[in-house]
Amino acid sequence: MSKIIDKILGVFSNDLAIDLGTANTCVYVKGQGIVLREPSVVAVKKDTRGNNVVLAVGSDAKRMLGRTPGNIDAIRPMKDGVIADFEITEAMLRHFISKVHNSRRLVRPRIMICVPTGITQVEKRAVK
Amino acid sequence: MAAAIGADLPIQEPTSNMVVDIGGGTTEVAVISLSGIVYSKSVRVGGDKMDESIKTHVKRKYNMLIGDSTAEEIKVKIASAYPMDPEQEVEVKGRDLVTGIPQNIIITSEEVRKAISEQVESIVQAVRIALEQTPPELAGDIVDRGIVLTGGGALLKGLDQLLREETSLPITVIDDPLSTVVIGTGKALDNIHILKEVCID
Repeated sequence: MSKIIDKILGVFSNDLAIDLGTANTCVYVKGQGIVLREPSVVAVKKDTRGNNVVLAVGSDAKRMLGRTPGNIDAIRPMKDGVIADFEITEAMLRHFISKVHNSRRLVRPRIMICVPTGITQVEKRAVK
Repeated sequence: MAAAIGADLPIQEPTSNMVVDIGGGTTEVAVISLSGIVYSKSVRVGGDKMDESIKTHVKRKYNMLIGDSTAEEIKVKIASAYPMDPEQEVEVKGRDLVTGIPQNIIITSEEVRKAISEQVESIVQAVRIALEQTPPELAGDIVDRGIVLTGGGALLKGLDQLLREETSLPITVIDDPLSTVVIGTGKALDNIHILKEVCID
């Protein structure tokens, strides 16, 4: 059933292609071309209860690299072409996807992500 | 693979296409024919490692600490793989290790080239190994068609010149190397039949 709903909603959705790079992440929307190109950096703030809150993503976060006080951390979640910090990468992808896909929350876009050739099974799982 | 589609190479034909994608963390060399990968190799050398080397060099030579972003800036501005004419220089700000006081220094493209030579050498090495491993018919095609460079590292000045000298093959750098991969992925989305053929699993 949910497959059918996805299919119907899929008609209204945009197909996205993502290049998840170590330094930069690019997003391409079918029919529109490249809509977003930002550095793969996330700034995370620890609040008083010890929870992590995402403060900034992309070029805003890049400006914070190396300029953060103790409770803020600017992270590059990808290292050597693989995902080093799983949760942060997820937060970053969610941010980028919602940025290019903001108007239609209900609709789930079809996404294709590029991975390097010759990556291991574990790394493939991480991407999914 | 995606880079090859993005670079508009005739990947579906029975001729060889050699692509070198130099990214932030890894460098990938692939030989593609008939929508399949004949040979591919990934080495963990890329832009980040070069930044690191620049940082170490400045620390050793000038006793000065610089940040990651500054190192990247130096790389983008003046780094090169092949002697440039004229050599360039750039002003760098950082903290002196001895006195602990922030200061300015001038750094030249020649030192930066020496600092990143190890990384550049391993990229050249990866290309050479790929050429050795390619079956003879396809290797013959490469002589005519050459090697395509893409990824952020392809923007390194003089890298094409250096590879041309080392391999004496025609080398081309894509116009917009930063977006080749995403364009290729997008193209595959637009034409599902390409996607079905090139998908690895």
